[in-house]
Amino acid sequence: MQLIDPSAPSPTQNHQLAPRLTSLQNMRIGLLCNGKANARPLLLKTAELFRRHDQCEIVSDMIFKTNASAPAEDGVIADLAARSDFLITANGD
Amino acid sequence: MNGATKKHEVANDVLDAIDYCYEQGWTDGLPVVPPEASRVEAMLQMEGRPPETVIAHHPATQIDLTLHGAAVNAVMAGCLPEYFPVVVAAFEAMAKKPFNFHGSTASTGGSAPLLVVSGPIVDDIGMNAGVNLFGPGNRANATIGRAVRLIILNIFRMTPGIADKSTQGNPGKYSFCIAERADKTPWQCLNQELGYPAEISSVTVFAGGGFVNVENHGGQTAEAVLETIADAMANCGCISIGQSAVVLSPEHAEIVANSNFSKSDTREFLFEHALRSEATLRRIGKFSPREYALQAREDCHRGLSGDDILLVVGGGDAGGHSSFIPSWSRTRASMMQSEAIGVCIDC
Repeated sequence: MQLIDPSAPSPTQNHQLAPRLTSLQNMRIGLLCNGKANARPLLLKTAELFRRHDQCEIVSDMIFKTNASAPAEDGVIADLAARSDFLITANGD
Repeated sequence: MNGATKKHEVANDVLDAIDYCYEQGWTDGLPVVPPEASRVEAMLQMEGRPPETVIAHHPATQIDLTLHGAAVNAVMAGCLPEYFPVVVAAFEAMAKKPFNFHGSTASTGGSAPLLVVSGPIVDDIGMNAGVNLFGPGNRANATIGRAVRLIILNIFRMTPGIADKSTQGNPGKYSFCIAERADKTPWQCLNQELGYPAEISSVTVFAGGGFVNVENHGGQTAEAVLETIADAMANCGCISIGQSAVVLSPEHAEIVANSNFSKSDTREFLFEHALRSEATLRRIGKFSPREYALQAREDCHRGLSGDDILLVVGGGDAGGHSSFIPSWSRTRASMMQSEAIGVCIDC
């Protein structure tokens, strides 16, 4: 008996990691909040650790996603990338 | 089927083939119909498009669902070929961005896609719109819903515990497919309400977080029946600004309609009465200033308006039992979507 496999092939991914920062000193941190409870204080406290340890600058406006379980709205990531050196966001519930 | 399709040779014994499917991890925990090649071909005959046609794309994994992949899993679910257009339309609806296919499937919230089928296809393929509407016993209802789950598992790899992080899940994850009961609907049927001609059937997909039976055998007015349902909609475990599905039993629908409530009146009443006070939500830790501001009401209502309620009639003739199905998510992260079955409206 010949059975047809019910799965789908894995897609070809062409993603590349961004170049690793050689130092965190004085870097600008962008914050992307998923909008869930406690995400904001968690992000701020995490960013504060980098500010104290590495003299990082925290981009003043934290961006809030309107839908925690969907990608950020078009243009949000590009905007944050233009104004920061690395981004802190949170996955989870 | 193209040459790239992966095939498995197994002994020519059905029971061995069923065991093989278990060993491969292809099932939902129940035995599946082995996806034998000729059965898959027969399933694909119900579709006029090439088997490699992509009908849904998973945004997180980038995996595509083709008609072929859907057909294989529909066979495994036990679908007859005439059910296949419903399965296809369901995934075309779920592929629409506002449904948020990934989030609703992966979430701890444990929702399952509820399929509500409306129109002539209900009778054409022998779906159940009556007694035991959400229960077992009807091949079309059971296997169409099951095909949805098998596709989610096998194609999109939303494996429980790995990509599907549902805290407790819900029984609808096995199969969650019903038909609208047109003969007992006192108002316009859902397919026509959605703008399709009467002869075009539709499937509406709704990320359903569970099932709440709403019993009222004493109320004899629309207000009595609907207040009961509204109270269920606003229970502390379900209150949110998300959408709702309400399935009125024929008995309840008759009471409501005999009180001269239109479908719109019914939705508005439910919305206006499905509420909790701000104080209650604060006390139980579910108050959201942003959502409260969005609603701009004194109390916290379920949804943002009556339009957030999918309202259909279904179930057996006897029994004051309607149902409420809450949407997944504490917000509006998934919005119900619909698709015509077997036709391309926009072509």
